[in-house]
Amino acid sequence: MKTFYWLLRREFWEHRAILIAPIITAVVILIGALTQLIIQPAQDPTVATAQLTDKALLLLSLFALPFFIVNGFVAIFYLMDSLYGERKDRSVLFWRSLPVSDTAALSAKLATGLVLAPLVAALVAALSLPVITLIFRGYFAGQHFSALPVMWNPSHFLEAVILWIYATAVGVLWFLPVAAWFLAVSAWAPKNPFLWGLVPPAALVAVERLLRGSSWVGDQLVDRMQGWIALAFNTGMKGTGQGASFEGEHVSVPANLLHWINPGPLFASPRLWLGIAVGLLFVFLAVQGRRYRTEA
Amino acid sequence: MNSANDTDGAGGVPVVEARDLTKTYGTIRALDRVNLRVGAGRIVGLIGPNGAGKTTALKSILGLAPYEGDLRVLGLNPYSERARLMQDVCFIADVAVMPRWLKVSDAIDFVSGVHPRFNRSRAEAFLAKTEIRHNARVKQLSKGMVTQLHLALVMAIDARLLVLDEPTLGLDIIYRKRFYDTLLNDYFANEDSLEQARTIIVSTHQVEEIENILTDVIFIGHGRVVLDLPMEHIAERFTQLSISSERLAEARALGPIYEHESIGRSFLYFENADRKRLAALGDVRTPGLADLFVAKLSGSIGA
Repeated sequence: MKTFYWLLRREFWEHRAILIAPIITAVVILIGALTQLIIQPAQDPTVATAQLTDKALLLLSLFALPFFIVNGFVAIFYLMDSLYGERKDRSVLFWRSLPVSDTAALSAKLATGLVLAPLVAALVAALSLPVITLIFRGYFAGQHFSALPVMWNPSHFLEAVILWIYATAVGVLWFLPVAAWFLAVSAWAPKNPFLWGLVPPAALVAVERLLRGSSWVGDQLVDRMQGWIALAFNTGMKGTGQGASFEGEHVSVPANLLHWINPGPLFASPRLWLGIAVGLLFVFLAVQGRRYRTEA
Repeated sequence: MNSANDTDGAGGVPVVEARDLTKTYGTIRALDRVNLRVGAGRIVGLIGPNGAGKTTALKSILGLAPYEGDLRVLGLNPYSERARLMQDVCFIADVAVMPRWLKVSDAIDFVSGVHPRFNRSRAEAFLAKTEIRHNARVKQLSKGMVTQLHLALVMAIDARLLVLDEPTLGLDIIYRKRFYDTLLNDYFANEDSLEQARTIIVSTHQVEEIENILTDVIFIGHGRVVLDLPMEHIAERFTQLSISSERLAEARALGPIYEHESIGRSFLYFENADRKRLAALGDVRTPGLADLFVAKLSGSIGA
């Protein structure tokens, strides 16, 4: 355990982007919200209170989304560099001269990219939420409705943070094959792991389209990106209010944000378990790669 | 001090034992059925030209690369039991392997955190004698200082085997000298308090640098062991004869393994020759490792 703790710390020493990226995201969101406040302070006062409540709740639920999206890019870059980088600068010879197994070293890297990085993102999102709430107070100030009771409400706040941690947890399971793929590529790529990580899947999609005119591979990749949302969250439920629209789609918003949580269909889905199996295979390949390849 | 643990391995399990150790890269045989046996307490020099297979041999011993053949290091299979083996083995490659982003204090914390045999105060005492600051990053240190840092970490580990692969490559002469002085003074300083004798395997192509610290020498060329001998046997086995040209034919008849000419005199090298007979022809002495190396390797290349 002590070894694992130091392995994780070592990852954060080297890859400070995991901490810095969510902070930058928070700053950008705060600046964006402030700007919005200045150029468009009041909205149509005739909008119903219930609709505004739903809008505020949806905002609260999705507040961590930009943090998670940024984290996705950070994690991909991190994982692709994690084993290739140490081969390239030959520091792998130093790390592997210590009594740390390759399985432990890779587990720490996978845990950093797949678990800790999104947790840090969720944490920074939670910490920046009170600040953004103050800004929204001004945003809704011109109306008889105040979103403040909704956003500032400790129970809603807590619900939102639990929701994000839940999203992180199911995301870990769902994205295991993706993270492990990038780790395996990082372990084996002779050079440029970014090309090795992204070109083969893209090439498969293109070849399938050319030869068979179908898009099965592409559909799988898209499903791996977004398929978990419909499986792990209650997106089609009847809300208590009038609902809100998100990206042009009408979404019913529950009065208790924990009602979004619904892991049943996800755990019942063979796509989850198949993905985990494929992910474990890639992890195995990555461990073999680290043992076998010490040169870039 | 370690007479019980001689190269013959009379004192128990050898530190390194390789049988038919082979490694191929594509069609190139980096190691070709190498047999090695290193006893506890020895300081073994692995000497060969660039590309001879030194680094490949050391990487196999450290479990850093797969190989064919039988290899046991401290009784373990290095490739499959590397993590376990590294509790007892330390390794310094040439200067470039410490990660550039690592902070000195973090390096100490990390090794202290993952290595059960790391003695933190020893490392800090060692660093206190250098100009290395604790809050510096590796990229801010000179090559010599990086080596000192790595040496400080390694010296603080109570290891049984220390493997050095061209440890002074690219260092200036002051750091090179200091490196080996430190190695001998500190590494063997507490020998009596250790349960196990300490063993060093060091590879280099700068023979002169380590000649006087070795107990054993192994020459390696084209992936094969050309010579494997305790230092004290070199004098019995090899003779350098220095003669003027008029007696050259007579000396050549005795079958030298190598000869070269310098400032009007010829130098002939003999293996297992009668020294008294040679002494009648000219000046005889025991060749230095550098000359012996050239003699043995040129012979094997010419053959």
